[in-house]
Amino acid sequence: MTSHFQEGELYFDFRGSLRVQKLDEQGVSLPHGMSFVDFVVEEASQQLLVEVKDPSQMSVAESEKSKFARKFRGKQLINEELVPKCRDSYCFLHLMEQDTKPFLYIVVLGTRALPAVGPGELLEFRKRLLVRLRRESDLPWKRPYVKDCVVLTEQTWGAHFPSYSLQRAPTKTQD
Amino acid sequence: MSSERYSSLFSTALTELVVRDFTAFARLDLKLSLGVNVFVGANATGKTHILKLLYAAADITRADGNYSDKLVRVFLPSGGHLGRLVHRRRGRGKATVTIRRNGAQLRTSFSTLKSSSPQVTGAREWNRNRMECAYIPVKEMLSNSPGFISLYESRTIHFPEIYRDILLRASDRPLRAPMDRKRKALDGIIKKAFKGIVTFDESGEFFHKSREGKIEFSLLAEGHRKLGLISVLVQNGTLSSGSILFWDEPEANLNPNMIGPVVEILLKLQRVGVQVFLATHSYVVLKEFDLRMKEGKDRLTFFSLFRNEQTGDVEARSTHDYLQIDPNVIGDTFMDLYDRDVKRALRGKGK
Repeated sequence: MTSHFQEGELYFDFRGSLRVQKLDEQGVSLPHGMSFVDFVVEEASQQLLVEVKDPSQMSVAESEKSKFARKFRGKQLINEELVPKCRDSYCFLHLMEQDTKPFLYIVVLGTRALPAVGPGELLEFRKRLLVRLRRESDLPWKRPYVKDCVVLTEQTWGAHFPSYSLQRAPTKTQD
Repeated sequence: MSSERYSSLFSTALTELVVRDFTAFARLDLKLSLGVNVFVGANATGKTHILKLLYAAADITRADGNYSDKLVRVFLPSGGHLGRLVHRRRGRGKATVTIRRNGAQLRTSFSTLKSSSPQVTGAREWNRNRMECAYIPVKEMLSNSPGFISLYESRTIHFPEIYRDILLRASDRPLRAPMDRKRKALDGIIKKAFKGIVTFDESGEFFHKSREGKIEFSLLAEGHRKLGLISVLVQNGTLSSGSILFWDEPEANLNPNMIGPVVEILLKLQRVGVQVFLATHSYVVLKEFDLRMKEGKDRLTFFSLFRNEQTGDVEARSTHDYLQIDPNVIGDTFMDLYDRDVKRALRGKGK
């Protein structure tokens, strides 16, 4: 089983985990209307739902990077992308009887495109994300389907997941 | 704004501070920004001392004052002995402070020897050009205004003179001449944030006046009083092109949601030609400057003050880029909070 996974320009090595799934692997038929996180990493006592948001990729246009920065500061990124993906992934895993361990939601931000984002903003962003994961409508979910969430960047990933490496593809130089 | 136009706006601006053996500083050489100067650092790294040194130099030009006398009244060393402000070492010591602006240099030196008098050079040339300035201390004073100035003048009370000075500045009547377009726009922004105007009566009592009527300043939230003070200083011309604003911890008693408008006002003041000096402990203040400053339009220098672990002396590094502030005690504190927040969540004990 390979432990190497790629999302855009970011390379993850989940060596030491029990299993890694890509729910939306190409060529696999998926339920209509659901969107999924990028990886599900199974560990001994928990499952990590890992979602990568990386507007820092070289190929992303500046206008898209600015758009992402606006989404980050507003509600759109959390309400329309991050939370639905987490909820749908949980539902899928539940229906597949794979929800045997608690889930932890990990959002990885490629912050090179967001240079103004500092620890204060990441703290607040994580709080807003968790609040939305717990409550999306007038009533909060009865079941806290993820035990918690964290928001990491390329820079902070290593300190919290030293056994899983994360690297960005080297920048191509012109000959 | 062209560099030439910008320089002409700041013809009286302070350009350099050189300090030797003064309070926490053994050696300090600062090139000052003509626009906004932001000082960050842990407690007891001398941020307020720098503001006071510069303020005293600017203030004496208003009445041909003596720099060393002003330093005594601003710093209040015990017994009025400036030698107590000399950087502490074994044996005798001597402090020198040199401040420069376009074409003039003010220098003072004083020693720990009680028998020696402070020396000041360059005062005549320095005082030739009057520099309008205001120092806003951490503690809001307008609500304590009635009777304070007369008390200060007639009795020996242990208050740094900055408190009297700011009340005097605030008590100046509004200028008769109409405001130019930029100052009018600035005044409008301040009034909008302040939700009214400031008035004061003969006894020196300040009021907030709005559609709802007149409210005593002492009944206003302290954060709003500070905005009111800025409004008064703009209306009476204390803050106008060529003047200097010193503000110690603008964030004090201000809800973070008010800091954005305050930073916007400070940047606008700078754009009309006011040189600004701030000391801050606030992440929000730093980030607001980072997010609101306009490349090529605003001039901003961050000074990071820190204690050299080997010598124990305070040193400074400067940068124009928020991300390059090093060390950044404020950012580091938030980073530590963030790290612990992530660790708690990963341990499964999050909220």
